[in-house]
Amino acid sequence: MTPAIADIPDTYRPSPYYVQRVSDFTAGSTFLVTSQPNFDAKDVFLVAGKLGYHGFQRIETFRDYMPDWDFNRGQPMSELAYRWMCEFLKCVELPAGKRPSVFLASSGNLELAWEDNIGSKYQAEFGPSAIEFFRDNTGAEGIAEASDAGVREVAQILSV
Amino acid sequence: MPTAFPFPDPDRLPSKIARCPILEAVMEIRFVPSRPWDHFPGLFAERFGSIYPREEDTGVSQIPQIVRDRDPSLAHLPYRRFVGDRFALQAGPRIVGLITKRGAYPGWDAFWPAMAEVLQGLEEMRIIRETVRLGLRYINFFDFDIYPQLTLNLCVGGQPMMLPETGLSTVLYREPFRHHLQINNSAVISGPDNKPILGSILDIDTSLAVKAPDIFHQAEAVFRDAHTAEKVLFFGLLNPDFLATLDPVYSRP
Repeated sequence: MTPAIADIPDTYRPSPYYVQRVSDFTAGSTFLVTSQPNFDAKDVFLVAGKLGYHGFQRIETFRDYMPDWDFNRGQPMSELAYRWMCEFLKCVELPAGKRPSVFLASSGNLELAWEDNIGSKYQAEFGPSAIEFFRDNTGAEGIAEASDAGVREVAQILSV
Repeated sequence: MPTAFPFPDPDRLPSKIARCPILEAVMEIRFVPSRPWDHFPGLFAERFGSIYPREEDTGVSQIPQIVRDRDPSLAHLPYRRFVGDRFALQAGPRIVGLITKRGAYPGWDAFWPAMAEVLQGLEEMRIIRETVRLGLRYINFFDFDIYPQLTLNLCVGGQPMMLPETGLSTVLYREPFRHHLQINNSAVISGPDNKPILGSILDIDTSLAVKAPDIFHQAEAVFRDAHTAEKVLFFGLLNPDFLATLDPVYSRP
């Protein structure tokens, strides 16, 4: 449902959910031109909706990390990991009112962690080719292949 | 989600058009880097300096870091440009692109081998940890209002919308590609002696979001397919009568 104008936060800061640039027409100085941004509005909406404003902003910050962050040990954020995380967020059923926290591992993997309403812990770490998962209250733990089927499997295991 | 592709497929695709409207073409790879940007200029100069000897600063790196971090649209801009005879190679912390000289598109048979050489160099330099996106963009220019010549019509209440400053931006999906189509009938480019030329831009950016870590060995097939997909959209957009005025050349069957 579209929020009423009164519900939109009163701020003069630019929207962080910037998804399309329509002013990129060349006007003579074309040599700087490069291919278009590829932000997918649906992914931005999904991630900001499931992880909240701060979670979304953390991922945007992670994207700025260059190789050698974390005292020369860190790898930049894997965009494939981000893609699998988005697929996971489409499938998983989260506890009502809970938003996972998001972390960047030194390996460049993205990790989500959350609790349900009785305090049981859930974790999923997304890499380019594998997804590690853990669920406290069932003892489920393992590694799944990063694929459409693997994502669905992990989402099913970690859904409430 | 992806929807039906609304433009008609041409019966056949020209191999070239004699009155070529291509202002500029860009072939680009976006990636997650395995090395910091500081390493790039030296590596590029060493690997590509003989082909692209003139090095320039695009000015993007002079934008304060805090501004670059807050504007996602700046994330994939090039910091350095290496200019050669026929093409310019551009590099940023997360992108490398090859650009044709303005108004001098040499054709796919010259464009692709130059990009293949760039990809080979990137593989040797080991600066890419993960390929994110492959993109192919063609910017066409016509020195008149292009809208009446298109299969796409803009109408208001059933009446054609004929306005002198009209821009359109839309995204079309046709698996596996995503096309970002932009049309504007009030573009100004610089012609000979920087003389301004008013006209229309028809800009198609065809891209593939990569879903596997290693794409290098598939890049040729992906770019070739993207080129064909872009041509299908471009020629599907043009009215057949208008296309005939551009003197299309068809390869023999």
